[in-house]
This record gives sequence, C-alpha cells and structure tokens, in this order.
Amino acid sequence: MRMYLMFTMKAFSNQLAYRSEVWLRLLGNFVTILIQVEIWRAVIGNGSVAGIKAEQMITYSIINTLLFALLLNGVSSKVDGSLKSGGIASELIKPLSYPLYLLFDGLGNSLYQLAFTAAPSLLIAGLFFGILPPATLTHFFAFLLALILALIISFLLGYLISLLAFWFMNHFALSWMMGGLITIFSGSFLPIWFFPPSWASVAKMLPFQYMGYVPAAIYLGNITETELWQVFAMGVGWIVGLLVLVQWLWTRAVRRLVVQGG
Amino acid sequence: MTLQLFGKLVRLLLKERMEYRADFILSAFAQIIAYAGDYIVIWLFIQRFNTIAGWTWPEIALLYSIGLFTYALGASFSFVQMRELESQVKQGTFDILLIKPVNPYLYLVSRGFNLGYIAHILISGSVLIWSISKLNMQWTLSEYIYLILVVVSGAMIYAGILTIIGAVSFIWIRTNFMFTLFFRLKDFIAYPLPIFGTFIQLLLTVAVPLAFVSFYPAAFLLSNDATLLPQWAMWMVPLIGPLCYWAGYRFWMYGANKYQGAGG
Repeated sequence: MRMYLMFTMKAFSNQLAYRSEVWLRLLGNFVTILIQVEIWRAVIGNGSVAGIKAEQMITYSIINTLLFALLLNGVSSKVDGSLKSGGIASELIKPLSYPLYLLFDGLGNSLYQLAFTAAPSLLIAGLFFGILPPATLTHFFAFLLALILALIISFLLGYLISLLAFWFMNHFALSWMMGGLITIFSGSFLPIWFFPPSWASVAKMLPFQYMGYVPAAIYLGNITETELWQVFAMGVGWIVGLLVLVQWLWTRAVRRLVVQGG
Repeated sequence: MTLQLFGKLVRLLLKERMEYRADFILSAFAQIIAYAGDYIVIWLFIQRFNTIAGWTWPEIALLYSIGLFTYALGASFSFVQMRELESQVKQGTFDILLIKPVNPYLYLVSRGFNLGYIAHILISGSVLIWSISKLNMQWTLSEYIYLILVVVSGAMIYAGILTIIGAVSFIWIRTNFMFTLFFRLKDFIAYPLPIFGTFIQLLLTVAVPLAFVSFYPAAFLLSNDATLLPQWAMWMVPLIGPLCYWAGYRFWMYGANKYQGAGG
C-alpha cells in the first residue's frame, strides 16, 4: 500500500512542475462556468422551471465543472501511450499491480487538481456567481460519498476503454465514443430531471450519471434521503459489475498483448 | 510552394491513411458519435425550454453547424500542425523544416493536412442542410453565396487564430494551455451570443473574433437583428476571415524568423 501511495505523491509532485498553468486553468474553469450560468439565467430567469430555480442550476453547473477536473477518465490515454511505445512490457514485469498503479497515479493528479484548480475555482465561482449550501448535513456527507463513487466509476470506465484498446488498437476512437455518451448521459450540462421521460429512464440505468448528475443532485437535495440508498446501491452495483468485467478483460488482454517495437 | 506540390502531398497523406482503412473508418465513426452527443444535448435542452434566447432548435442547429463545419475546414489546415509545433521546437526537429527549399509555413500546413476532419464535415454538413430545409427560408442566390463566403471566412478565422497560438511556441515554447483556452472560448459561440453580457460579446467581436465565425452570419441569415453590429456591417463579415488569416500568417513568419532553437 505504501508503495502505491508513493505513486500518488509522485504524480502530485510531477504536476507541481506545471504550476504556471494554474492561472490559465482557473480562467478556463471560470469561462466554462460563466457560459452555463448565463444560459441558465437566460432560460430560467427569476422564476423557476419544474421547481428548479436559476441559483440551483448555477450551483449544479459549478459542481459539475469542478468535478470534471477531478475525474479519472484520462487513465486510458496513459495506457495507450505505453501500449504504443511498448513501455507496457516493462510496466508488466514490475512486481506490482498495473491497474492499481494506474489508479493511484491518477489519484495523485486528481489530488493536485483538487488543491490547485478545484478549490480556488470554487472560491472564485462562489464570489462571482454564488453557491447554495448543501441541502442538509446528510446530503453533504452523501455528496462526499458520491464523489468517491464518481472517481471510482470514472477510473473503471477509463480503464475499460484502455483494455478494449488492446483489441481495437485505437484508444482515440473508443474514448471519443465514450465521450459522446458521457456528454449526454452524465447530465453534467443538462440535469436528468430536465430530460424527456424516455431519455431520463435510459440515463438513470447507465453508470455515466454518477460522474455528474448524481453528486450534484445529491448536494442540492434533489435526490431525497429515501432515494439515496437506491442510488448508492446501484452505484456500488455498477462498480462491482465493472470490476468483474475489467478483471476478465485484463487477464485476456495481457495474453493478447502485442508489443510493436519498444 | 506550388499547388501541384500540395496536391501531391495530399495524395501521399491519403495513401498513408488508407493503409489503415478500418482504423480510419472507426475513428470517423467515433467522432460522429461524439458530436452527435453535443447535438443531442442541445436538442434535449430545447425539448424542455423550447428556445434559447428566442432561437428555436433548427436555428440553433444552423448556428452550431456553421461553427463546427468551419472549424473542421480551418483546423484541418492548422490545428494538429500548430499543436505539434511545441514539441518540434522543443526537440529541435523544427529546424529540418527551415532548410527545405519551400515556404516553411505552407509546407508545415500542407504536410500535416488532416483528413481526420471528414467526420466533422459529414455530421455538421448534414445537419446544416437539414436545418436550412427545415427553416423553409426564401433564399435567393445572394444568400447562398453569402453562406459559402462566410464558411470560407470562418475557416480562415479559425486557422488564423490557431496559427497565432502556434507561433507563440517560438517564443514561449509551451502553448498547450493556450489551445485549451481557445477551445473554451470556442464554446461560447455554440450559443446565441445575446445571452452573454456585452463584455463577452465585445470580447468575441474585437479581441478574439470568433463571433464572426457563426453567430453574426447565422443571425444575419435568420434576419435576427439582436446583435451588436448594424445590418450593413453584416455584408463585411466575410472579410474578417482573410484578414485574420493574413495576420496569423505574418505573425507566424515573424516568429519563425526570430526562432533561435530551444536547444534539443
């Protein structure tokens, strides 16, 4: 375990080398939030639509924009890099679990983003646009738990893509496709409660909602305390299902591995 | 550099890509899915709220498609080439370009001409045609010519801005983040600009002229006059692209002349 935590620290300190980019990142987040804020103000105004006020949507947008910086989908491009360079061969002979290494390395990046991007962005956004407090204390703790689910699910999906790339040899295409699904079904721009019923029922069956909609909806209290259990149970179910799937793919992928050069 | 040489390079690139035909098709298919995602989210949005700042779904689709189509055209001549410039400067491989007996900019741009944007063109082109037919507009020949001109101009605006960012790598080496920032700014023009304040509208009109890519042309074609610019200025919109591209080219050549190498 200590060894893996070292990878987390290492990834964190690697990121520190790019401190000068922090300002631009903050500016980028600010722009993304501003766009969403203006859109919600334009369509909702001072009233409310389906019981949702503009301030709620602003908080929702801020949470989603910042959450996006923390997610671990990027893991697939790392695997792709070492798959293409052949470096994967030397990763595999090291006496450690490659997937766990990826997870802890990714967490190091997330930790960095949390400290240097998400936290200051939250402050700035709160100052400019205002953020509502969490609905209740229970919802706040549930929100923190939902963040952990979001991290794990985003990691597993990114990892799934990188394993599929062992067959398709085109990680780029696979992550574009998943990007399209995430755009729609994570609800990170348009919350699922605004979806037409048929689309909403599809979105609520997929794992992507945990990477945007679920944490923000819990924070705002739009998922009631009785529903929380159901949402978390399904999230854990997805994690178990994905774990089984990637474990199975992993054993087959390693056997299939073709190193081109390296 | 002659047009003939460009043709030859493109033929070479085509052969290169077709070496991995299935891979190429898979990539194109994936991009279509990714952009379909963007369209669907906006469509779902409008299903709920009917309009965005008074713009209906076909109108937004027209606006978005002009933006995407022109981006694909412009970026195929600039984006990857300019993004890679950073590592070429860092590793010193850029120097190879300077000793070729052709204009380095034209060589870089056409050698890297990116066929990968075919998917963007396909999806945005189809939605563009669909939206025009859906809107049932009584267009005369001059509107069609205007559309073609603004598409060319928009592509040149994109290429010009990306070229300027690329040229910055001669000075600062690292440019990655400027590209990210550019894409963030580009997000603005997916929506009708009046929903943003005057400051943003001015920013996108004067500082980074992205508003001329899709918003002003679309507003003009749809006879929507809630814009900062007066009607007569709308006919000038197609001039912005060539101007922008020329400025980008001059700045890039200036940077390349100043280029000292980054060690490597």
